[in-house]
Amino acid sequence: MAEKSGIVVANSTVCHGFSGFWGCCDKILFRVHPIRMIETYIAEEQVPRLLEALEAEYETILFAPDAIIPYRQLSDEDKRHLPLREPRSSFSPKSFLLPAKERLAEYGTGVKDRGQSPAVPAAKPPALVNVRNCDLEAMVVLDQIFLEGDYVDPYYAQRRQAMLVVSVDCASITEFCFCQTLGYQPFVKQGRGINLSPVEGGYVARADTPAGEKVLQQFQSSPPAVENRHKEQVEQCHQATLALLQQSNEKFTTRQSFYEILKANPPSEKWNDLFNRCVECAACTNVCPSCYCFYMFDQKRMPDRQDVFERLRSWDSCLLADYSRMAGVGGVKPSPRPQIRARYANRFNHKYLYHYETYGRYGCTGCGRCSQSCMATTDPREVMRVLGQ
Amino acid sequence: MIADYPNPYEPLLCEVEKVTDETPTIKTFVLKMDKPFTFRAGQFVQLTLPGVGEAPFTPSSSPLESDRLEITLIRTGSVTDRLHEEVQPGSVLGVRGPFGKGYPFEKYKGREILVVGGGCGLAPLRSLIYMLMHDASDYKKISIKYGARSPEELVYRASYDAWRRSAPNVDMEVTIDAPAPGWTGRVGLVTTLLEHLDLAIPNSIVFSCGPEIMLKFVTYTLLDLGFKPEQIYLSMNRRMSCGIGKCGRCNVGPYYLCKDGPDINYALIQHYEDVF
Repeated sequence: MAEKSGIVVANSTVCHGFSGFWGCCDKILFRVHPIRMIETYIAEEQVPRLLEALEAEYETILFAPDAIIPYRQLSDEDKRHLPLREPRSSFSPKSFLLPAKERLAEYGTGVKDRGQSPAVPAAKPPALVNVRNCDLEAMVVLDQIFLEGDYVDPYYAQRRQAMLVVSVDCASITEFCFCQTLGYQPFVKQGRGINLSPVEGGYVARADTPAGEKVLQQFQSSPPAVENRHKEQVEQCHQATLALLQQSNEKFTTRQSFYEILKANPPSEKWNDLFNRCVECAACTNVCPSCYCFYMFDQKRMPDRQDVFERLRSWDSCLLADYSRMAGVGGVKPSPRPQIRARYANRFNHKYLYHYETYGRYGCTGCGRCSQSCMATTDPREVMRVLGQ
Repeated sequence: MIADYPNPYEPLLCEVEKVTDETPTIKTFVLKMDKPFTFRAGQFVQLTLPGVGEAPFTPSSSPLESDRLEITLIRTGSVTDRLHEEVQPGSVLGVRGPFGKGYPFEKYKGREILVVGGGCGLAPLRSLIYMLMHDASDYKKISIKYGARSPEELVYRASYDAWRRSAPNVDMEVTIDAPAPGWTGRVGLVTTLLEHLDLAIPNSIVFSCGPEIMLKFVTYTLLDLGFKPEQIYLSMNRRMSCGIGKCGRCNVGPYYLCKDGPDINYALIQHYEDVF
């Protein structure tokens, strides 16, 4: 009966609370189990309808190769040609979890409600469409920083909880992509909403969270079944993209893992040639989906009030000379890493050594946006190839 | 405590009760806490000058006292300049914390404790000294070595004799960097006080705090004397900002000094290029 109704139940390792909807529906006679997820086929021309259905509860945001665009701003023509089979966007979804600038606190004797739980503005949460596996894996890195440990970041936690991700398996790659080098794959095993796998004429849509299930349920009352040929096509797409990645990264092959290479090569003069051409623009850290370092600063909340102040944070970059500067007079504030070579070494070590040692995974997911955006054409793959020689 | 607080980035407001001039460049601010504020010796707080910003300081008062917090700070940068210029009794400041691990001194009962301070670095060590002296008989020896640039720059000068007299196993030696009129004590960098230690080195543990250049030479001197890296705890100088291991700027290798320090065992960090 499940097949007839067009719903295929697949095993998943994810555990989530399942509303009783599917179990109550008399057309569907399978027992709802909390560790299952639903899959359905969506024809290409139906995808705009799915994204429009999201708009009821979310602000739908499309990640195009060269832009992040609110879905409602797309022309009808654009909606008919969604870039879901194009390579990943040049932009990461980081700013939807960690805005480039945000207020962290309001304080001072003129603030009435002190010590309250902070709330992010109650606008519609975003549904991020066309996000790829590299970015989902990078969100895990961000989760480790902002949700684990003695303190939870209340702003990050709220955004993380409210958003929905419509991820897409990669059907093509950029020349900068290298996720498979780090042990990741260009397709999504566990998403944060709905995942779309490209097949002939459409997509296999899989709900990975209760929120994703809800959207799929509301979208189609009798969803078309996922057929065996679809499953084969999904697998073919995965293998084809992996092959593309392997081919594209062949010239960067190293004998050891990035971890092993850095462990064996502590920062030294050898690094100078690699990094002295850096112009310190911080583009790499800004586009990085897993870079999270921020700068906190205080200012008056209102120009004419002396008793209300605000604390803000903005993205920061470990490559900038004043990143770790300490107290000191004027221009001679000391920094533990005065040379760019040392700062670059710290960045690479953080990504491939320190985060790995502390959290058991790399702080990089191989999206390659850093090299894509680098004016000095620094590429982590090339750095590792040279260091590993 | 901030752990019970819904927003870890919001400072708790408190009133300044007293401001003491310790030296021409160092002042102690006594803060009156509305709610009991407990911390471990060596843990730090983020002190906010409203509208100007925050800077990290380790309290210099005794952790045994929870309704007053003393912070001794040297005038050396944009926030500390303004703190020195503007703050008076009655001023309102903000506090977040306590953060970090603090000195693991209780682990070393029965051992000989060497405390090495430089300049304003005696401030965080004072809260440790209070704790050590509170249970002085638990330690075989408590030896304090302290150096400053000049006699005027010695902090808590009136306390030294009381510390020396507090228990038979406590001693304190003081030095200044260069000869000064009227000074009859020792002259030379604080490392010169380490040359003739009256301690059994294998049984000793060192806690040191001071300017980075001093920590570097204290560490190298101690290693030359036969101390092992594991026996040395350093209060590392870094720009702590969020205080809770998220903003990323205070790392030495994989350690964030705001949560894994600021007092950290030298054995953990010795191989990283940017330690000193």
